[in-house]
Amino acid sequence: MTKTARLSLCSLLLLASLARASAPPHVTKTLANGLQIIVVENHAQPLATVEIAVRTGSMAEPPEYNGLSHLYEHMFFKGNQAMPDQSQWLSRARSLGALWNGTTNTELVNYYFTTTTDHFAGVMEFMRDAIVSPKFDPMELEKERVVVTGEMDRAESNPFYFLNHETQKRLFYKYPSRKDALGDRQTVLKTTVEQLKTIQERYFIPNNSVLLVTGDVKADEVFKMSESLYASWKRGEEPYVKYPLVQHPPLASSSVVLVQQPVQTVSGSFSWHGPSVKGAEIPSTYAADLFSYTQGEPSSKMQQALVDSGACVSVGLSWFTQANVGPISLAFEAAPGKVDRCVLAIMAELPKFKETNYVSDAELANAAFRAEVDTMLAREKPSELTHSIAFWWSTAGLDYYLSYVDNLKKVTRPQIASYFDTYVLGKPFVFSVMLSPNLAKSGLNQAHFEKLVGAKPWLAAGSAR
Amino acid sequence: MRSVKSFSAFAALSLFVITGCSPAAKTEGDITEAKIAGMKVIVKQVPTAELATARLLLRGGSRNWTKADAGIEQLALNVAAGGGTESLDKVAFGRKLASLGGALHSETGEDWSVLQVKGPGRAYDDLFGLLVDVLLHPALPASEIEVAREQQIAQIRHDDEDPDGRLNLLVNQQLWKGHPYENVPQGTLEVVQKLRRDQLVAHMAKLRETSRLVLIVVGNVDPAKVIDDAKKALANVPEGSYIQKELPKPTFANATLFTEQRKLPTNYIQGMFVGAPIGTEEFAASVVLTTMLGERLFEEVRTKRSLSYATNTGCDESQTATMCGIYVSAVDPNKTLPVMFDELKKAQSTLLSDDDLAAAKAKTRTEMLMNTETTDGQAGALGRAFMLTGDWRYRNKLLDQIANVKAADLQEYAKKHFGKLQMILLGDPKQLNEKLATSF
Repeated sequence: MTKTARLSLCSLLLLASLARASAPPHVTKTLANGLQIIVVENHAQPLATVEIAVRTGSMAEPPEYNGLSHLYEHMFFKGNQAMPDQSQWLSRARSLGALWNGTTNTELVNYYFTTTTDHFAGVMEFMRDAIVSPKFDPMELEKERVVVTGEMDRAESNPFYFLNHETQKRLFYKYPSRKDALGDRQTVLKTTVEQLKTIQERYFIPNNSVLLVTGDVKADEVFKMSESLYASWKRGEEPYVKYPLVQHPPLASSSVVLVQQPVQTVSGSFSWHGPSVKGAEIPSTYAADLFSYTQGEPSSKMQQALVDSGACVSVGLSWFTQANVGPISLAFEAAPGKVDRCVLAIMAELPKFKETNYVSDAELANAAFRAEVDTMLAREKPSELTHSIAFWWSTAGLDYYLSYVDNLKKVTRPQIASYFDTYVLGKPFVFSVMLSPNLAKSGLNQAHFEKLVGAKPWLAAGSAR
Repeated sequence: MRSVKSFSAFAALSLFVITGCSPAAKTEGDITEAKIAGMKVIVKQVPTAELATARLLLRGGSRNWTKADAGIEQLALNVAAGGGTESLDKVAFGRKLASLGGALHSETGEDWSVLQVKGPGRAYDDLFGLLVDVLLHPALPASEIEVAREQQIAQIRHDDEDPDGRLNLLVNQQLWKGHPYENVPQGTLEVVQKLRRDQLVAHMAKLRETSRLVLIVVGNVDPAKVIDDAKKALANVPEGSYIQKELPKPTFANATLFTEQRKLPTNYIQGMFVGAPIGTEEFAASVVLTTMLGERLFEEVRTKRSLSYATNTGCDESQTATMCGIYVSAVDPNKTLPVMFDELKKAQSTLLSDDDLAAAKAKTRTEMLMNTETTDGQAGALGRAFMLTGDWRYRNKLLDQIANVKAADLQEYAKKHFGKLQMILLGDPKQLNEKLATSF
């Protein structure tokens, strides 16, 4: 699963790729309480997927709430007013023949059930009870906190967790909690029922949520059922009017994050503050994605210059679709003996990205076509299509999603050049690198990399809410 | 969220009706099959599919390499798939593939390897042409060998760094000691570093026999044309006389524990046993019980006792045996394992209630259907069924068998197969009592 609270660098790249899916035939409806409903019919298999997505996540978390969207996600699958007993709840989930899960991200929390069509009505009701009337049983909360720390233990067992975590902390230095979906262990262990209720009241409201249904269903029937099931779910105050998102301040200077872990390879990235999906920045988001598509091809100039040349083992360029500052990342992996060569090759290649002849017309056309094929791939698997639409809905909005491929096709070279001028070239960056302690001792240390990439020692700045 | 550790699973299709088509090909419902000079071709026509998949299976897998050259097939196929062909260099090949919206990749496994292309159905003919070109005329340029070699080495290192990757390797080593399956497809650092181009060229040549090949195509395609095109494209490939050899089956005399020390925030533990052979009636019971057991472990270990975030059950089927297991990551194995063992014992001593049996069957069915939503999912499932049982129809038979499984069948399976657990721990061995670990 890509959209998890355990966002490694790799999973961020996967998410960026997942986010490139686009519009299948669908119908929408908005209920009086503001709950949006999106239905995509696909009758190839007798399956139905029901998903609720909520526009929240770590973006809504000051430090004292960091990790609570994730904990809330776990508590969703606990008892509720309709089915208070946990064993009963699990037994009912089993009887529905459903595969279920949930994920917490920076700008999205979602829950989903997939089952055969004969259990569809039961799952719709089951979902309603879980989202509208969670019980937050203190005993269950006590137990689930420990489970969440078990999830943290697993994340911290993988070296890439630290690379990604430290990169995000530096990149979003003033408000790191707002980009940390897994959250803080101590905060999770101290969570109170009152805090969960606060989250519920602020964000888990119909006018901040979408109900997605895909598969072997009929849209009219879904709408009818939803009107009946969700009529009593009360609208709340617009959360981001009352509690506006923080403004992540730009990086003042470039810096190096050195992560030492027991690894045998060298991995890292150059990261910048990229565009947000809002206002005047939107054209840059299309330029970012189209260009990333072109350079994802093994035949691209970037791959030829950096990988085929033998400088790096692998490289990947991405921009992560986000409403509130999506990071741009050029991730790399290098053989231990070729780290400097790889990093220098990347730095030499970066300025070329904005050159007119860096990508051909055919490559741009192929990239837009890739995006179109991605829409087919997304449509092909209805049980995952809900996650993809949920991600788009939450971060960029449905209109952006619906016109995405058409807008990619309209991207011009000047827009690509402008994207790099605005966000990358000559702009402060975070250079992150993860290697073994032995390699660091051999000279690949902080000072070495600061000199190599032209960065300054980082002056610690206090984080804020 | 729930943790997901994947074990393979079979998926379902609708029922077919035998209709017949032509002397060369036989059609049952939406599936047409043919044999071309030793190569089995299976075509599933899906009129509503926008995408099409051509999946070419290459028999052999671990039989095709030894400890001395393990990793060779993965490297050869990766270079073939990514390094261009004799008529299209890497860049030209990549651009053509991109212009068609296609993706071509290779996989390597215990019993067979795969070259697969997937893309828009309207481009199927050209995409299949590229797939054939990769098989018959790969350029295998030295530069691409070095790129792919570095990436394979990185993969081997990452598998070692990641706890689940390392645990999988340890499990494989313990279960298949001295067996061809012990030589994993990615190979070892020592071997992969030394593989030469002439070895890769010879290895690819070895695979080019129709008696080794199985082609599965799923999409909105014309089966007769697919079969005809395959016949023409592979006309010059020798049939050969490849026969997949049967490999020794694993047996375990006692429960054992193998540990590897690693400083981790939690312990990664897997316990394995020999499950029911695929194709047998008790296999259906094992699929249902594995699902049920997974639910029970989730409830007893995670929900009730907070002993773990991640518990799981599953089976991996091969031509040699079905290996099943229980999995957990836990900071306190001595508290966690008894709970897991109790659930295994309950499965042996207690008949599942009608409700629980119905629930387990329903979830199993959902999962099987989810695995065949896509054209590549369907091609993969048809291929697995054919390779593991000799009959692609087995996927449907399994669904029928599952529907008819009784609680007593599950209990019988548990009694017969649960036990002599081969336990593997990655983490802190001091945290697990060996006597306890080997008590089931």
